[in-house]
Amino acid sequence: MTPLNIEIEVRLYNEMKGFAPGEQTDFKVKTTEGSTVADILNKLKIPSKTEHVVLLNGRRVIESKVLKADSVLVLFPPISGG
Amino acid sequence: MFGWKGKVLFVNLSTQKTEETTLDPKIAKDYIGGRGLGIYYLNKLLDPTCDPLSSENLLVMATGPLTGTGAPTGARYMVMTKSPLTGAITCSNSGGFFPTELKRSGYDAIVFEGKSDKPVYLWIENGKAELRSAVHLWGKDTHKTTDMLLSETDKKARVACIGPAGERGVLFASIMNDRHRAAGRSGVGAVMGSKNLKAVVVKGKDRIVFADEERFKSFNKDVLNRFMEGVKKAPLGLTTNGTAGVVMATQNFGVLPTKNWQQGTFDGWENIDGERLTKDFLVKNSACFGCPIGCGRKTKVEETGFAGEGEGPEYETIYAMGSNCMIDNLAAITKANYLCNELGMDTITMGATIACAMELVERGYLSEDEVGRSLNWGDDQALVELIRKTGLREGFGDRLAEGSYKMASHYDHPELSMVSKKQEFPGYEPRGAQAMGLAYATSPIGGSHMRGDPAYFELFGVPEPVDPHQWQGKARLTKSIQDLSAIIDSAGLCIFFAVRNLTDQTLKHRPEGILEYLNSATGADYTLDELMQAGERIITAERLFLSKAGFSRKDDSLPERLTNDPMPVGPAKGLVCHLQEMLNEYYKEQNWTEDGLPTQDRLNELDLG
Repeated sequence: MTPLNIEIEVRLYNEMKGFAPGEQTDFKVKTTEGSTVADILNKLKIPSKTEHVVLLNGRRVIESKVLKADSVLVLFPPISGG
Repeated sequence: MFGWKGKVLFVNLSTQKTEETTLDPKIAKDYIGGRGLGIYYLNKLLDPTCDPLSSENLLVMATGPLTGTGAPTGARYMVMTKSPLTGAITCSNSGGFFPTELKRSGYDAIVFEGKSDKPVYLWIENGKAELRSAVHLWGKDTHKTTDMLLSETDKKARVACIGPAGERGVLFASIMNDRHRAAGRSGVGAVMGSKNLKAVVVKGKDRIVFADEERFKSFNKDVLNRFMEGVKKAPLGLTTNGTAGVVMATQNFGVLPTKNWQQGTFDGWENIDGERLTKDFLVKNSACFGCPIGCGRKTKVEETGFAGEGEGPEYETIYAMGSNCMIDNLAAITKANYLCNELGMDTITMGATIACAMELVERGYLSEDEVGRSLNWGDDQALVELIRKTGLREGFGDRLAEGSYKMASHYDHPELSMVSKKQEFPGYEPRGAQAMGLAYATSPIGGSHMRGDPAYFELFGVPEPVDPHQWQGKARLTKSIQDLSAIIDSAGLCIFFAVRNLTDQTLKHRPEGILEYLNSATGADYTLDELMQAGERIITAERLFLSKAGFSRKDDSLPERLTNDPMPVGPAKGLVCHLQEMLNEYYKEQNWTEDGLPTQDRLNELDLG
């Protein structure tokens, strides 16, 4: 079994809060070095068809992006401003 | 004509005469309407070097061919004139119900010329236009003005008017319509005030005739069904929390302008976010004509000192008066928004100018004696008091009424004014969203994201993510979304619906859905290429006006804070905006010269020669 050797922070906002594993919508997740954004989305049971914006350390990324220790992963539904 | 009404009303305020003219079908097709029609008339009839507050200036109110058709968000009109704040053009856009009623009253557009000797308002009912005395309305706020006009015309009429700020030439005075909607930016209200034009009131039954009504309705049904299916899967953030929901996003990107743009994150952000607005102040949503989103917020504040009722605030107001002033009291921000609406002022420039004054005080360049009170970061009482004074040009408000650039220049520190072309920015930090910096610098109205909003690809838009920190490749994307916005603004649509639902959803921003709406409504038989070229024509026609007014590359600028000082904290820490690199690429994309002026070849290509 691969070791859970890194930790990242996940922040869920608005409707994405419903995918939090507990009451906290800002929480830490242990994962394996080399794992991707998509792995975390799977872990949180977020269906692939759900529309959402993914930020990793303040930048939009594709879901195959590899995670590094202490990264901050932010998920929120599509929004618009003006 | 189909879609268009085919008629434009000219109102000469100096002679008090009105004249109905015919809209040339070729001009209509080439410039679409709204923003396009506005720049067509400015280029044709206005000396670009004129004094914006003189009788020489023109003011154009123009709807688009889709305004009032029932196409989703087809509710918009555009106010175009030469801006007293910037000396550039304005493109002040608003929705609500006034624009649809203007079209039903019989006209695609109104062109105001000259200056009236005494205050007047224009009343149009079913194609019959008349100027009436507004002496009894002068001095009244926008709500009272609206009440009085509805009682003396028709209670079902629609009103666009100025408040005390427009009458007193506050350089960022707005035109308010339907009480709470604003053609907010660049001082269009001051131009109305300078012409002694208090209001425009419209009512009409003239229905819009479609080239192919069955085709239009069938496409409309498909679009709305697709939209509703999407909403079932995931509720729209805009419906749930309004534009205020953007605070959460910009905070997490590290691009929420804070402390007069000294940083991009704000510790108190959760107190001013959309979820807080919904929880504490929302009474109900409001929607413009034909809008399935309903991003408007009817709100009520009960907190002592800030009590009131009205609409708002939008995200931009929250950034400008909130994080930018280090104010985390949403009750105060909401009250400040109400005051701006009543006095008739742009909330962005108002908030950003107060933030600039706060920094001038902090650095010792402006004394509190001169302000007439304390003015520290986070002072919500000062915010509300100074807004009142600005709208009435009382005391230090007279200085604030000039906007941040003239104010900061007066104290010999123009570098503390966060503007492009002397217009204050909306709430997205270009150090952490590079294309936004290019959009601000090249916007025809100065600091604005609404004439091409890169947030859709850099921050929270189309499915394909684009790295906001990279500047490479952003020139092409920025030009492409600017062209799209010119089409949306000219058709009479709102970007909130059109960008996501009426384009091909790629980074090419092809307006396929708008094409079908336009062709079925107007019968103009646009090809996709012709429509996209119309967007380019409008942008270049605007640049042509600006070049004749003396604008060039030197004015496509950002403050040094954004291009030289690395962002101190947050996800964009260490970054600056790479404006000059992007500008070099951008001018090539536009086929403009290195100095940012349209080439003769390009003008010929777009039939602007």
